[in-house]
Amino acid sequence: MRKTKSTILRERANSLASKKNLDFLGKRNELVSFRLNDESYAISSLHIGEVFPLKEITKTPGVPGFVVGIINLRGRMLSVINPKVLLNLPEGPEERDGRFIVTLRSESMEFGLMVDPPLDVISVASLSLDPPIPSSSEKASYVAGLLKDVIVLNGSIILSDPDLVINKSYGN
Amino acid sequence: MSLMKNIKVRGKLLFGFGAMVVIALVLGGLGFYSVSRLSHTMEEIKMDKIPTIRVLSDIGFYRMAVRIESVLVKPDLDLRELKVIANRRNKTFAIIDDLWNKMTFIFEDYGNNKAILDTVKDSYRSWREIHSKLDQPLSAILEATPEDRKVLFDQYQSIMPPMILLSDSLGEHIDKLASIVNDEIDSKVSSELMFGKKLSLASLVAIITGGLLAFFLAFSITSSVSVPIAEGVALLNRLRDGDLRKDVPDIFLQRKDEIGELAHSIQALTENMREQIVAMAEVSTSLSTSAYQISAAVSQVTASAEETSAAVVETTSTMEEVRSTAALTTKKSKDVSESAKNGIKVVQRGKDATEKLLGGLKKIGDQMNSIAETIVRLSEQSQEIGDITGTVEDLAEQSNLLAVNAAVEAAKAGEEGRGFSVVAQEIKSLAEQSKQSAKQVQKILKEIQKATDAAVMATEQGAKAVEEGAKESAPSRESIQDITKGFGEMSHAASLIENSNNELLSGVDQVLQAMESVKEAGVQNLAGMKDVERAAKGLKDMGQSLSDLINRYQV
Repeated sequence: MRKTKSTILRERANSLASKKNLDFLGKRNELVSFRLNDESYAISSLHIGEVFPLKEITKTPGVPGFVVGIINLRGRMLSVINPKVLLNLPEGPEERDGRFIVTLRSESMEFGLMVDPPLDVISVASLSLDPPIPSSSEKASYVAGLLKDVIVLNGSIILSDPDLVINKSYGN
Repeated sequence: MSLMKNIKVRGKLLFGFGAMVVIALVLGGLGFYSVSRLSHTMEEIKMDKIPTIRVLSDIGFYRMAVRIESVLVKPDLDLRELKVIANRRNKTFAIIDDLWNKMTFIFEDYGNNKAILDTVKDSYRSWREIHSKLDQPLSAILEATPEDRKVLFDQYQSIMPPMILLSDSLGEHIDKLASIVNDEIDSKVSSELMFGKKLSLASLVAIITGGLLAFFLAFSITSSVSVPIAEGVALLNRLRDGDLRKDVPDIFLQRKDEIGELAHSIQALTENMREQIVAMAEVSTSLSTSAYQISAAVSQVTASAEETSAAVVETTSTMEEVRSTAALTTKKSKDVSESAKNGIKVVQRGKDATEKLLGGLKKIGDQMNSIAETIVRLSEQSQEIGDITGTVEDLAEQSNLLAVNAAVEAAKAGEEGRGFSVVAQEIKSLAEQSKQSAKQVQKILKEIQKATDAAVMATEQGAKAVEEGAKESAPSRESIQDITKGFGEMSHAASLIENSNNELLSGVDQVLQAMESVKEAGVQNLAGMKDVERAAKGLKDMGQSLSDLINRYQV
């Protein structure tokens, strides 16, 4: 009986992995979701480099409040930004599983966002968003809209925000 | 030559054909001119000169006719014959007068030969006068009597010799005039022949020159069109064979005609193809990189799945140990129960057995302690299992994170990564399942902990009861009753321990079952990873075949 169940699961995995059954899936939009305090947020996976747990961070002096510090990502130096500061959210208690880094990546820019777990992948057929709640915040453009109860952030706008670029002479 | 290259092909063809038409028109004009000139000369000879010659010869002929008729008048002829001759002579004169009138237009034509004309006119006039003189005796002869005729004949005969002289001179002059006309015809014909010869020579020269010119034009126009087209065809053949290294020569690009446009188009096509091949090479490289990254992620996931499997095996063996410990506990509990029953029997036998009883009580106390120790060990082992499940949970969390990264990578690979993204989703759900199983294990462990605590408490109660029993082991009936009661309580506690142990055993079975499902999840995980590996291999092969395709082109 148990053997049969395992065979069925294996067959299902094979059929999902085989190329010919992919067409019925259509084009999917994938978003990487995470939490900031008790709210769910998501960013399109097109702007995401990778995700990993935050282990060691080096605090850097003389940088704006939203910069948490720098980390070593396989020999590369990557600055980490606290989105809670950018979005005027309170700094909540740290979760049992610690904090995670989601790297945003474009051709000209790369930095990490410090987020709360759990991290997940949302896959939707159509990316139709509800409009965001009107806000007077200067960073309101960061929010692209709502996907049910998930707040979808606009990765390309965050990546291209000139406010996030720290001038080289700033730290000297 | 550079001008030749900048004129459009249409212009060249128009120029070439125009030149041919001009040559044809020149040759045709020459021919037309010469033919019309010849025909004009012929017409002049036919309408003017030949009638002139004819009038002149007619005059000569009728001059001779009149002379013969005049000579025929002889005395031996009768009157009737003379009349016939005279009539005929008069008719001939009428014809000659008529012809002379026609001569007037000849005189107009030959005004520049006045001397000859004058002599002809003079000699004609003298000839006509002498014939008028002959007419008088002749008409008189016809009226006269035969006697007078002889005199008249003599008179007639005397005029004859001067008439013959005049007639000869007239004939001579007319012949002269005719020869002038003839000469004129000769000179005209020979001049026309001369002109014809010159013209045919000129025509020959024009035909040869025109032919050479036409041949040169045709050759240069054709070569200026066909040579670049042949070059273009060669270039396109190279493009077809994948050789993109050669540019269109500048000599064709600089041309401003249709060939130049064609050359620009071929050049643009070559450059476009080059750019596309370079872009495709880049895509192929990034595809290979993605495939490599996916392979790396897969091997990481596989390694963590193997770790999970090892942890599960460890958990299972620990659980087996717990089970055997529990079995031992049960057995010991049963022993306690048995001992208690025996104790009760001993107490009931009497006081003497009290010492023995005390000894038995001590033994029971020791066993109780041993049970308590076993249960504490069990509790410690449960704690260990808790730690292991914590590790399993951590591994599941890491697998989940890897799955998220894999999904992000798959999204970057685009359409080809779609299958991989589905597999990543599956891995994620398996990780979730592992996490749930670990949580379940932890929940069960909590229940085991509770049961263990209950067992410890029961053991303590039993120990207390034994202690109290020992205190109250005075050989009184009441104390024996108390002891009996104590034994009863002890037996009850032992059965409680047994119950707890049974609960513990069922808990252990549940843990084992949960572990089995974790193991199964691990196996599936590995199978999924194999598929992913295959997909990544396919991606790599695709990159290779794309790169092969690109390598067919030489940029």
